[in-house]
Amino acid sequence: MPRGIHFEPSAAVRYLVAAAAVLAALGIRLAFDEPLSRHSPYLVFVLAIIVAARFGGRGPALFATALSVLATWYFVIEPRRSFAISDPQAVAGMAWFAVVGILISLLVGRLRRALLDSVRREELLRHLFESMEEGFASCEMIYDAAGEPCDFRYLAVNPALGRLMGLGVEAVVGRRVREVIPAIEPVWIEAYHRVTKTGVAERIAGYRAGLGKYLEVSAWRSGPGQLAAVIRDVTARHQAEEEIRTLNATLERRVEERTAQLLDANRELEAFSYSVSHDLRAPLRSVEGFARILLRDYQGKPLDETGADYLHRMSAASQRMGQLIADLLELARISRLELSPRTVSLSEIASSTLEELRTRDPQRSVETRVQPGLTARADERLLRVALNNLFGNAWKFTGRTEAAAIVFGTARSAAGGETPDGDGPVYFVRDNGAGFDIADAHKLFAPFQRFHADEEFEGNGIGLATVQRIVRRHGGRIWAESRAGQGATFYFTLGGD
Amino acid sequence: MHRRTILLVEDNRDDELLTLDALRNGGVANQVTVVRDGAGALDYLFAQGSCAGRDTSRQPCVILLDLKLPKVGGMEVLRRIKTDERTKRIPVVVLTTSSEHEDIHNCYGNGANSYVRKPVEFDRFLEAVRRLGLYWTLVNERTA
Repeated sequence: MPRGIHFEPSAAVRYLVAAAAVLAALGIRLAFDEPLSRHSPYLVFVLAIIVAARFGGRGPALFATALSVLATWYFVIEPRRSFAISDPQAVAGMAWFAVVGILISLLVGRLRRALLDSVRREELLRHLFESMEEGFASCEMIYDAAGEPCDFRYLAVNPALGRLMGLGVEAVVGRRVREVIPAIEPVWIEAYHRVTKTGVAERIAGYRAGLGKYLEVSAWRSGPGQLAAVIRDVTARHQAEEEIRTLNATLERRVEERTAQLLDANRELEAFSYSVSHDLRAPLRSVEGFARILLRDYQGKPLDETGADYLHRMSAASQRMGQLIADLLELARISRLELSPRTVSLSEIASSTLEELRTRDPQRSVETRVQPGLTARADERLLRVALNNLFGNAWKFTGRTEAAAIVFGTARSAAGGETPDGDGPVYFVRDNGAGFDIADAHKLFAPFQRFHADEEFEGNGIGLATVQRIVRRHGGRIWAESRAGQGATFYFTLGGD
Repeated sequence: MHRRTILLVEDNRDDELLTLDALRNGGVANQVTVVRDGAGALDYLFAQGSCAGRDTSRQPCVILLDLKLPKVGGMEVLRRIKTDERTKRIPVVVLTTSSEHEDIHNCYGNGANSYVRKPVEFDRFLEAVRRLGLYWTLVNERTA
């Protein structure tokens, strides 16, 4: 607790005390009338004036002097209880007393004023010292035998510095810094030495490992071999600055990432619209081409086998086009759809999807294995679409495989070509079907990319693009491994959360 | 006189039929060999894989090459044909589905001799054939 600044008593109190002192002196003077009259008739009044001067200063002291003169005149000097004077010598004595009283008033008053001022100054300084937020230390440099600065001693420290060091003031004052902070960096001692030697004040900022804090110190020479320092803890500010720096860096990185993503998306869109224009035109071409042939060759003639084939081709092309448009709409819908993730059972979706494929194609015998109990946080509808596509592919591309097998489960990166970093389990769909050339793996997920002639396996190349979009929308990744003729494995993750 | 073959590289069965129809109706009587993907085309031309042992002295007089092919893409096939001493002199007419400038530009860059839009724009095909000096080799005008 900082002590309050010393306040002077009010004027009324000071004058009252002066009057009381004179009254007391008068009482004593009258009580010990006989011995005092003989030896020192004014002594007690001199004491009263001194008391008044010490307590109240010059004004009350002069007041006490005047009061004493009147009191002695009236009560002490013969004839008593009268202002008449019979002895002229008594007048000289009283005048002398008055002069002494005035001198004492002036001298003691001035002394009191000086004392009061210095007390005030000291209290002000102490108050500052103890209540300032910055740490303050007065130190003395310590040199080793070779005259090199090796340490410094704390002569005085304020409570703020004690708090900053995590110690009481008493635990610091009189001790060397190496005792208090054993891990102090030499750079601080050197800096303090420089200040005491050159007398040039310095501002030193840095990290003090011993305190685990960033400090900002203003140090100046306070005497030979001594210095004073104001120490500010700027750790919070430093951290805030650091945070802003990281934040800026993160922001910059994110802008870069986002820009790259946008560029990617743009490229993808370009490739996409290019592919769409190509692939939508293909069935249209068939319809148009065969229609023209029919018009040319079969005007008024019955349809033979070739003509019927052409008509079938036109119908199939129309259906393909319809399917293509439906798939494209689905792909667009998936990109727009609001995700509603919840815990879903992948194993269940996988089993039901495979069951559906089996009922649709009952003459095929495919061995399927689904790892039980696989759950993930995902959008069930979208995940169903993705697994539908992956299993549909596996089913399709094992169409010419004897002892076809499809497996669904989790793999711990080991099997994968790439190592996922912290984005959850790696799921896989594996088949032993036609597979693809690994050199084409990068084209696998682009829309309309086909690796097999339509005669072999039909499809429009949108399935895997759709799967990839679903996986990405979940924050996951998808990749594949295969060798032509030896089956394919598709790995995917569903994001970390 | 023996007519040399035309190699048609086309994976789409409809397009194949339409192209064959166009050739027939345009009076081209040459035998047309069809392969369904890029790998098949390379096998045929270099007498390798499934076509090992084919007589390579009898190369096609013109190759009609689709760009969008499974396995090995058309552009890659074109590059391989035009960078191989054995095949680089065989005229290649690229079949495109569109008139995308980039496609056409890349085709010529890779040494394509001409291009025609699918299904074969027959006039354009004939013009390409004429330009390539193959006209009389290919076209058998019907004398009715």
